[in-house]
Amino acid sequence: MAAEHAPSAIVRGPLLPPQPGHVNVAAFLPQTAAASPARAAVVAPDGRSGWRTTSYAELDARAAAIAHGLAGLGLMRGDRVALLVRPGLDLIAITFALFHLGAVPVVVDPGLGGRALLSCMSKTRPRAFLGTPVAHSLRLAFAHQLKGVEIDVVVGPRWFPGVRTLHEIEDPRAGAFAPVATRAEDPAAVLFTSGSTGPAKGVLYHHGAFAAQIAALKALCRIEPGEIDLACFPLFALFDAALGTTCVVPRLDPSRPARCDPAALAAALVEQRCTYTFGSPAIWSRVVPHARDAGLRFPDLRGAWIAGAPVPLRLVESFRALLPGGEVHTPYGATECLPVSSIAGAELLALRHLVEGGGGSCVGRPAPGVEIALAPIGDDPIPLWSANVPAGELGEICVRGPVVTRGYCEDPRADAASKIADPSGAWHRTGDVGWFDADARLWIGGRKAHRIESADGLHMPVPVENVCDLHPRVRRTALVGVGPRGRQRAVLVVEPLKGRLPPAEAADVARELEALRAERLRPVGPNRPPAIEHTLFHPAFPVDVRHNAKIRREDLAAWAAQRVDAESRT
Amino acid sequence: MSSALTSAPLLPPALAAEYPFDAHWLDLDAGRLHYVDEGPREASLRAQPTECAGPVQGGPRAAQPVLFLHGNPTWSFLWRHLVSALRGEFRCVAPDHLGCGLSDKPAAWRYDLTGHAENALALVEHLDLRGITLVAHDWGGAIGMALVRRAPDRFARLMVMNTAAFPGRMPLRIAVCRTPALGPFLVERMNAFAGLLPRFGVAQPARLSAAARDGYAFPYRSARDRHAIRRFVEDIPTSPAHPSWSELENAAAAIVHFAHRPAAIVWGERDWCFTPRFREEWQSRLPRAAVLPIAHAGHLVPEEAPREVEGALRELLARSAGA
Repeated sequence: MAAEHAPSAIVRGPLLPPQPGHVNVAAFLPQTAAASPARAAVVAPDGRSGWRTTSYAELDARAAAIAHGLAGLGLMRGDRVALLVRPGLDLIAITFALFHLGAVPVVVDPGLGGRALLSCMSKTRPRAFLGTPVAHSLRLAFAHQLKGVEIDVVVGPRWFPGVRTLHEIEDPRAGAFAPVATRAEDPAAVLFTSGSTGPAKGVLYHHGAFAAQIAALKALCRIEPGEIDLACFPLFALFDAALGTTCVVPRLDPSRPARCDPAALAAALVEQRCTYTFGSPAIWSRVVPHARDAGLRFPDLRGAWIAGAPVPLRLVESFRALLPGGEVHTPYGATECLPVSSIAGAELLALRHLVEGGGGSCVGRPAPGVEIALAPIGDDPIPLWSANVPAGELGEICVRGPVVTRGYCEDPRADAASKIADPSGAWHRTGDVGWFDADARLWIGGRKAHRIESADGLHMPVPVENVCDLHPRVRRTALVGVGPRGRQRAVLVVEPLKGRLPPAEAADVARELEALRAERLRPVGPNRPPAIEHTLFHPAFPVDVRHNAKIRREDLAAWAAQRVDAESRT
Repeated sequence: MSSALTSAPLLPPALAAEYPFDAHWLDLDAGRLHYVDEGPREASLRAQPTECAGPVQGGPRAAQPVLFLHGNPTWSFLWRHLVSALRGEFRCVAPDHLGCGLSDKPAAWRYDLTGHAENALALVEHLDLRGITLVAHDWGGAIGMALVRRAPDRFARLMVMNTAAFPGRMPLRIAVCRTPALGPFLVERMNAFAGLLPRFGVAQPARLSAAARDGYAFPYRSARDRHAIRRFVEDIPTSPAHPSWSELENAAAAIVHFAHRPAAIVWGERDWCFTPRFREEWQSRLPRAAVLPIAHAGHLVPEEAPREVEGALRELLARSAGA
């Protein structure tokens, strides 16, 4: 069978210009400050509804003053620094100060919560701890954590005597700070992200990857210096300072974006005349309906980039209606590699019959500097790259290129599970399963861990869910596998809009879903509609509290297995 | 005299699991004062992280005691997370003011700042606590400072949370509860103060557990139980004519005792009553104190941010009393 098909090709994005061997991402800041000192670098909330603007000259001077202060405390190149500061001016200035020194900030997704957050930090054995008073107090409550820290600085009001505050160490009279000449492969930062499965992993960034990501975003999003970004992902606040654009810090609790105040975000877009924005669908599915009902338009917004979780087509459609001069894009990527690919709303909506007809979710063509290939699907480490899956089949999406990070921080097991050696360049396994269409567009069927291996073959959940989610009385659906691999049965779990449905209504909805699938679900590419024997109703899916978007499918599958088991016994 | 009472079924089982402390009692003229007294009575080396530079001499020393003073309308239940976390190392004493919590609720008593402070003094002298770290929340701050004024030498460190020990602006919602006829009706009959605590006292009401809700409400189930709460509200002095005005002024003057002693100001920033303006007032009176603003917490800081408060308290306790 496989011999009839040639292996699928590696699909490449546009080339990025070659990188210099020495690069320090901190250098972008003094460059912009010299060229456009008065340009706004950061616009941050001030009080309840006001804004405070910091120019590039001020931000640059601030970063240099902090770098001088930290150097005076003995912080060295290569030192890891636990950084627990809320998004905003301080965080941006401190991060650039650390880049100047060649020190390595360790940043943890605040949604993880105190204990997990500190345990992530302690794995990296930081030499310094820079945090708010709350961060310092939590560190003492979990007293066994972070014993090796030698340098403590409080970012905020006065703390206990003997612990310096950022304000006390800043040295604004010392002048400019020449960034350390780091090499492209030198570590730049460790970013912890909440994985959809298992404990959080610390992604190790090097200066070359950061610089390449900045170049890739600039080329992909056609970002020009002087543009204005509403930075709903804290990481993009750092990219903005490197891109020479203005970063508007939204009024948003980064640990719970799904609870954001849509009016405040819409007002920020309008008042600050933002030209582009990056954010998760959890945010925009609150802001867009609010703006539509309030009759708002965003005429200045040129590009809205939605990422971080699957994006429903109806969100893309309704957001586009608010952008008279702009487009909605749904890029694909992860903390380990971004951007991987992207697709514009117009092209995506033209593929609606396939997205909502059994194809899965389309994430477009490779981003600049990215190579994508599909590896055979399996859960074991792949030490050495051997072959792509045959053309037209499902495979695990693997990426390489200058924007892809090389590994995790002090985590050899995570490295083994996700990296594949290759003499012509190592691959990163994304953990997502997908396929390429004839126009070299990448389609996603779901996470590798969520695949269903039934007697008649491999099935992915997203193609089925995209169809079932169209039902007007359904909030969301999840297709899970029950039973041992190879003999799994596909079970559809439905979360109704209203939560709980009376049995008669549930039976109606189940029948209607079956009819919907019969009408819409077609074989598309390598996808074949699975046989679905059971439809279960769950009043509220187990989800991560943070985005209220990522369904905890392992829990849901276990629940479904119990229910199916109980049904078959009665 | 005080006695430990472990067998009396004071609390329903669910609440006893949430608040797993032995009951202790101090007999006062007006009634029995209930208090929590957990942790070592005598210092171990471990419990004295900074103060024993050299070997301990002259037999066992008293353990570093922490005195927790609650406000209105809470009770020592507020401190359960902190007491559980610290009792392995520190002696934790947490009374219920008369009329509150598990203490007696005599119908005829003065229920004013002076009365509560004198009861607290009786407890401190009865247990002969020295080198005290005072932790005060809400009206516990004023009672605490009135107590410090009476026995300053017993106090080594201070932590204040969403409290005041000086005259300040009163929000309308509390002013309403003081109106002559309406106030008692709202507070005692309608349970406007204690009943609304889970809604107005925290920044994120939905995150308050059912056990916590039940725990705060438990001592204040009937109108008669809520007499002290009403009297607390009426006892907030707003003009020099008020009987408690001079007591509060004297209490405010005692704050200076901590200007050169280890002190920490911990604040739930989302409190509509003790707003961050009160925190700033504390900061101006205690310029060397550590400041911990907690953005996500409301009035009941120890309830909403127990780990943050614990960390700051550990840091405070690690500071030598002379610093």
